[in-house]
Parts: sequence; structure tokens; C-alpha cells
Amino acid sequence: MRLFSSRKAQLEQKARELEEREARLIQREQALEQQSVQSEEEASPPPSGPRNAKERFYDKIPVTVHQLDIFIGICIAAFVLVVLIGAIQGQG
Amino acid sequence: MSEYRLEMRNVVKTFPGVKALDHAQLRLRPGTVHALMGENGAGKSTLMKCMFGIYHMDEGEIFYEGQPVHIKDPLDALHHGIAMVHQELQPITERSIGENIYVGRYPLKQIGPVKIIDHKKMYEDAARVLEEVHMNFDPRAKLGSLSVSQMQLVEIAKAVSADCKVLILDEPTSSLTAGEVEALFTIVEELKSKGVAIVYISHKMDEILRISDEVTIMRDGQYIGTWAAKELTTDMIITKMVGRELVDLYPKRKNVPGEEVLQIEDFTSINPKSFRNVTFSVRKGEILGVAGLVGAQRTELMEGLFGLRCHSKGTITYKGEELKINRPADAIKKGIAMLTEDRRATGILGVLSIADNVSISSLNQYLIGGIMLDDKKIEQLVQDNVAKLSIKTPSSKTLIQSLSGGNQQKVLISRWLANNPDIFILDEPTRGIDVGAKYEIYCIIEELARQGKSIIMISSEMGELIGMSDRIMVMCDGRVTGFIDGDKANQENIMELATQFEAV
Amino acid sequence: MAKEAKQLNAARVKQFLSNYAIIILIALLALAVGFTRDNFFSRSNLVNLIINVSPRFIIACGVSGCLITKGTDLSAGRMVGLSACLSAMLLQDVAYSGRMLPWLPDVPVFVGLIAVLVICGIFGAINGCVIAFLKVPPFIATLGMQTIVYGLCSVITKNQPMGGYKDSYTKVANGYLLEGAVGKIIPYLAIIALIIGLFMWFLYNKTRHGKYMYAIGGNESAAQVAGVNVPATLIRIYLLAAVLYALGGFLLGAKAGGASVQTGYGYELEAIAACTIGGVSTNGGVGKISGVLVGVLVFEILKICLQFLRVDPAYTFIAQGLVIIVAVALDLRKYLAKK
Repeated sequence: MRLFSSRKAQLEQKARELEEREARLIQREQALEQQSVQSEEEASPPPSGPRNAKERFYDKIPVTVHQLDIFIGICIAAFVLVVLIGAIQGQG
Repeated sequence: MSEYRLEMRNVVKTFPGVKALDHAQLRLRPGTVHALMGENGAGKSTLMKCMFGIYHMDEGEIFYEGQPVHIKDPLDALHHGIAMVHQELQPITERSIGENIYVGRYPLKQIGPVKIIDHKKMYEDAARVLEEVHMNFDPRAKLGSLSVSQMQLVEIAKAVSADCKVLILDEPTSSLTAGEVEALFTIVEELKSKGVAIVYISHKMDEILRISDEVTIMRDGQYIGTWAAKELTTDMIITKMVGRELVDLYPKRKNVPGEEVLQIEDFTSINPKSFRNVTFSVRKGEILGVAGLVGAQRTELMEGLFGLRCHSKGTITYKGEELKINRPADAIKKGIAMLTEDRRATGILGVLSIADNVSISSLNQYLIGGIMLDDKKIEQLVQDNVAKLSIKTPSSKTLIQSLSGGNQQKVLISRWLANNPDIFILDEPTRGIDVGAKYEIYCIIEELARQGKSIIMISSEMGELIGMSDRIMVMCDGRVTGFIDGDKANQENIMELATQFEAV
Repeated sequence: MAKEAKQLNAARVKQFLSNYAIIILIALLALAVGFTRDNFFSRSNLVNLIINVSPRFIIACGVSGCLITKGTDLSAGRMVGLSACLSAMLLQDVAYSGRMLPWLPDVPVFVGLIAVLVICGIFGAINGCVIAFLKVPPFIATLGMQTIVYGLCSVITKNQPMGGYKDSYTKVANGYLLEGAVGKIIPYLAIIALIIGLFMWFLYNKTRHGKYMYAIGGNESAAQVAGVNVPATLIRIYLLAAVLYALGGFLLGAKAGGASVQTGYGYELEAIAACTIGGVSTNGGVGKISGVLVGVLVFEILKICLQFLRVDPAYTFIAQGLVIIVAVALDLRKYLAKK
């Protein structure tokens, strides 16, 4: 008798856990619904599939868009500088 | 000084095709628990993400202690004293618990000219924070070593450690056991007494009525009203949330299962821990539900049948013919279609148009002179499907990733229909889809079964399994534990079979 | 709220810039040079531009397929070199004293062309197989192929530069359609490039292969589930790419009148940068042939500008290198901004 009731208690526990999982899935629905739309959003990870060498590399090294912008700005400035110097030297 | 710690007024937020927030509002008093309720898609999470700086509002204002503020991003929100515990965890499992708690705001120390992370201080602080929330985890242990519910507790600790004035809890108890929920409530009470304003989003009526002081209800992105919790009952809340007549969740099933057409015998994965000795059959016009707990290897089994995974032994027989399936193209040629579990990862071709997504598996049918693609025919195909399945999209050239989950799923179904398969494997077909679209998909599934197609449907939602299946196959730990007839199925007998091999 | 609107606009401007920054930059440079130097806006300069663009466009078209499928092809330059050298060896004038293969009879130009296309095609197919079946990352696989092809070229040419081509071969690159009356108008090179361009456009937009290619680039796992034969498509892509490199090398050799083991060195860098400038992202799944053309044009215009400014070759290298770096950085920015 005792064995039976303990098994029942386990089943109840499992049922509760399943309910909790259900609820969690329902909640995930809502979030996923809104995340599935494109916008300036912090989306869930994009399709992984076979990760590029590049993707793996950049997963490990944190570079922000802002840092990259600065870098690009510097390169463009350097480019203009080089062209100007080269042009001036070419004149003389 | 305002009586409200935080106010959000007239918030509007639109995503392509959907108005997520339509003049929503919220007013939080310090030292109270304010519940935020509504159906899926009502806008609760969206509103909180606006508060926390994850989204930028199209219109609307936020006032913090009477002063207008603009919250640029989550770090900015944290500086204002707003912390958020998210619904879906984003744990960095490979790193320690301490690192997860302080991610993005590691304590730094100066060594010469360089600032580096002060690990000692981080772990000391982490230990203290964990103690405050009554958790005994070792902050140096890997986060991945914890169970899902423990990870959720760490998320909560993370938010609490930020020493916040406003705390947003978005479905915090979804993965917690009863004991852990009690611990959470103790923490909430402690925070209340410190004057923190707490927003509590949950679907669980009993929790809401127990812990909250005020309740705000939203519907379709709009603010419906705020009431004192003690004036509300469960029925009142539901009425206000739904605001319209509840309809049947599942369509009437008129499909009539016929003779057996598909037999799977002794199907075993090459991975000994995955599915093994699976034997079952499916009839014409039948919907076979597949139930089981997470980890039961249902998806793996179906992937094996479809050729995405290797099997070591077993046979697939369709209409008397044995099928050799080594890759998806083999299965597709024999008339099998599969809607995968994670459509973003393995379903949709996100950067391609709807027309491309619909036609990709059947391009051989639209050729001029054997080489050139007939764009007109493809366009016709897309329009036919848009009409047949009620797909909401501005045009066939729209990128599929800008569609809602339900519409994306319909595009995928169209893709498979173009090949006229006889067997459909659906893995969690309504995951991440709102209530209205779910019903439409159920109708599509029922229609397919009525036409004589065999449907295998994996689902983790009891209601869905019981409501839609003619028969249910239950799996546990990679093995089939039993079959239940649709009309005799209920939560208990499914659960019993689903946990047969779980450690007792 | 006004602040938010401003922020949104700032983001849009940044996105526009990241797509067109280099094009705008070079366009400005071209205008500056055009108004301060004679002969820049002239017909002969334009023809010169077209002649330079044509073979590089063909090579960039080859690389584009690799980039669209999230891969890359670092062996492009050396394959161009191998093709140029092989063409040289096969198509030297019989009467030339320094002939590499004195025992070889007079080979028709057409036959020489087919030969190099086939040989490079085989190497391309090997690239494709290694990438598709052995699952070696394209970066590594084509890097290895690069050194192999270089070594092979070095061996067969014994590191000697070659010249002395037959007239029918050099005519391909130096001839013009409608020559004579109105002067030189349309170089053969341009016609060949145009035909290739149209063919590639058709392939990418109107055939199954093109759709499969974009599908793999967009999401390889999803493409596989949808029944796309991923290995077959990848092999076709790398094979075709190599054939295009071979054609490019063949034409470059004819234009220069000579070839050596150094011919084509580093061309893959320029080709990839040109593709990136033209909107073919290394993130995969997007890219148009028209974009490739724009990218190649931008690069060649840059070179001509620097020539007109009489910039020292050393500075030219640096300037070109900077443009390549900016192109790749902007492409990376698109990837990071998405995350």
C-alpha cells in the first residue's frame, strides 16, 4: 500500500513538473512570437549550423560595433592621408 | 516627488505587421509587487523590454521618480536601478556562476596602466549575493553544472545583486520547484520591505493573487486597467484578459484512419544513448502524436527517419517497399516531409524571400526547357498557398524572417505541400505561435489527414496531443514505452508511460 | 522622444554608409582627380578602364559563388597564374626561339583555352570535394590549394618568365570590335566579360543551381533539410570558380604578352574586396552580379586615380591595402551589428 502511494506521489510530482514545463513553453511562445519579427531587437541566437572559422573566432574575441566604427574611421582617414601625400609627392 | 517609483505612459511599439504596444501604460509604487497579466501576445514582455532598454519605444515616455528618462540599453537601465530577470535564460554555461552574475559589469582592478577583472572580488561578491538569496552554490562552479531551475535562481540572484530600485520578474517560476518558489517569495518580500518596486509577470493565478499588491491587465497591446489584488478573483482576471468569447481550441476531426502504410521496425541510432529498438506503424489518414519528456529522443528518432541522423539498424517500409534513407533528399523523393523543431535554425532560409522558401524543395517542377526557372509558375504557386493557408505577407518577395512565427510555419508547410508528400513529420508544429495562428495550423493538419496523408506529430503540449491525435506513441529515454488511443488518452496515462524509465 | 528619432536616423545613416561608404569615397576621389587632371574624363581612359576591369570582373565572379556560400577561395590568384603560364606554354609562337615546349606543334588558341579551363576546373573540383566531403573549412582548404598550385606552376615553368606569343592569342586581349572607321571602340575583352556577366547573372537568378547556392549561404542546415544536395552544389561552385579564374588568367596573359610564376599573385584579395564592396557579404546568402561589377569598377577606378595623381607605387599599395581593410571591416560590422 505504501509502495503504491509513493509511486503515485512521484507521478504527481512528475505531472506537476510537466505542467511547469508546459507553462514554460507557453511563455516561450509569447517571447518567440515577438522575437520572430525583424527589427532593432536582441534576437535569440541566429541559425548556428556549421560555424564559420570567422564566426567561431569572433565568438571568442569581444569586439563591439563601436570599436569597429572607430577602426574604420581611422583607416579611412589614413587612406585620405596616404592619397594626399602621394599626390603631393607626385607633383614635385 | 511622485508617489510612483516608475511610470510608463502612452507607449507605442510597432514591429513590421504588428502593433505590439498600443498606448500601454504602467505605474509602479515603491515597495509593492505589481503583477502584469495578459494572454500570449498581449504585450507584457514587450513593455518590459522597453522599460529595460532592449527595445526603443516608437512613442511614449518613461518617468523615474517623477523625472523623464530615456533608457538607451540594458546597461543604462541597470545604471538607473532597473533590473530584469528574463523569461528565456541566456546562460553562458561554460563560464562560472560568478562570471554569469557579473557579466558585462565585472569588478575591475588597476594593475599599472591596465584594468583587469578582479576575480577575487567578483567571487566574494557573488558568494555574498548567493547567500542573500539563500542559495548555496559555489560561485566558481560552472553554470552548466546546475539544473535548469537552479540556473533560473542564479538569474534572479543576478538581478538582485544589481542593487536595484525596480525589479522585473518575467515568468520567474516557470522552471522552479515548489520549494524554490517559496524561497523566491521570501526574497520578494525582503525586497519589498527595502522599498524595491517589483513587476511580476506570470500566468499562474494562485501566485499572482498571493504575492501581488496591484494587478495590471493588458490585452492586444492595450492597457485594460489596474486593480488592487485583493479585489480580484481568478475568474475576474480571466474575463478581463480574454475580453472575448473563448472558442474551441482544436478543430473537429473528421479524418478516418485507413490501412497501415508505414512500418518502422527496430529502428536504432548509431549513438547507443539515443533512440533504440523503435517499432511502430502509421495508418493512412492518421495523426499519430508522439509524447515524451525532454530527452526522450523523439526529435532524434524523427531526424533519423528523415535522413538527418544515421541509424545502425532497423527498417522503414512504406506501402510494402523498404526505403533506404541516408539523407533528406532520399526521404523527400519517397514522399516524406519534415517540419523541424527549430524553424529558425533548420527550417526557414531567413535571408531569402517567401517565394524562394516555398519553391526550394520543388524547383524541378518549374523549369522551362529543363534549365531556366519559370518565375511566373513559382509566383502562381506562392499565391495559391498564400490564399489556401491564409499566409499574411505584403508580397512574395518579402524576406521570410520578417514574418511572424505562425506565418513562417505556414510557408514551410507550403514548401512541403508543393511536393505532395504522403507522410508528414511535424516536430512541435505550433511552438512559438500565437493562439489564433495555432488554430489555423491545427485546421491545416486536420485537412491533410482527411486527405489521406499520414501525420506524425511530436508535441510537448498535453492539450495539443490529446486534442489532435488519433493515437499517441509515448517515448522515454529513447525507447517506445507504449501506445494510447486518442479517445482514451489523458495526462496521467501519458505521463506514466513517459516516465517509465526515469530514475525513481 | 525626439532623441529616439534622432537615434534611429543615426542608425539608418550608419547602415547606409556601411553599404556605400567606399563607393562614395572613391567616387569623390575620381571627381577630384577628373577636375584637376587632364585626360581623366576621356575616351581612351574609359577604354583603358574597361580593359582592366574585364578580366578582374571574371575572376571576381568566380569568387562570388564561394563567398555567397559562406566560404572563400584563396587559391584564385595562383590559379590565374597557373592558367596564364599554361596558356603561355601552349600558345607561344612556333618560331619563337625561347619556346618552353619546342616539341609542341602549333596549338590553336581555342584548344589552349579549353585545356587550361579543364585543368583549373579539376583543381576547383578538388577544392569543392575537400570542402564538401572532408568538411575542411574553405579558408584552410583553398589556402592549401593555393600553395599546391603555386608549387606546380613553379615546377612546370622552372620559374622562368615566358613571352613570345602567337598573334592569334594576343589578339584576343588586344583586339577590338568595329575597329577602323570610328577608331577602337569595343575591346574583345569587354565582350567576353559581358558574356560571362550575363551567363553568371542567368545562373544566379534563373537556375536551380543559383537558388541552391543562395539557400546554402543563407542557412546550410535548413537547405539540407529542404533537400538541397549541398555537396554537389558546393563542388559545382568551386569548379566553376576555378574555370573562371582560368579564363581570367588566359586573358591576362594575352593582354600582358607574357606570364610568369608571379602572375596573378594576390588577385584573390582584390577579388574578395571587390565583391565585398559590391555587396557580396562574407556572411553568406546575399550578393548580385551587378554588385560584383560595381566593386571591381570601384577598385580599378581607384588604381587609375592614383596613377593620374602620379602617386608613388609604394603609397599605392598602402592605399589599396587600406581600402581592402575597410571593405572587410565594414562587412564584419554588418555581421556584428546583427548579433
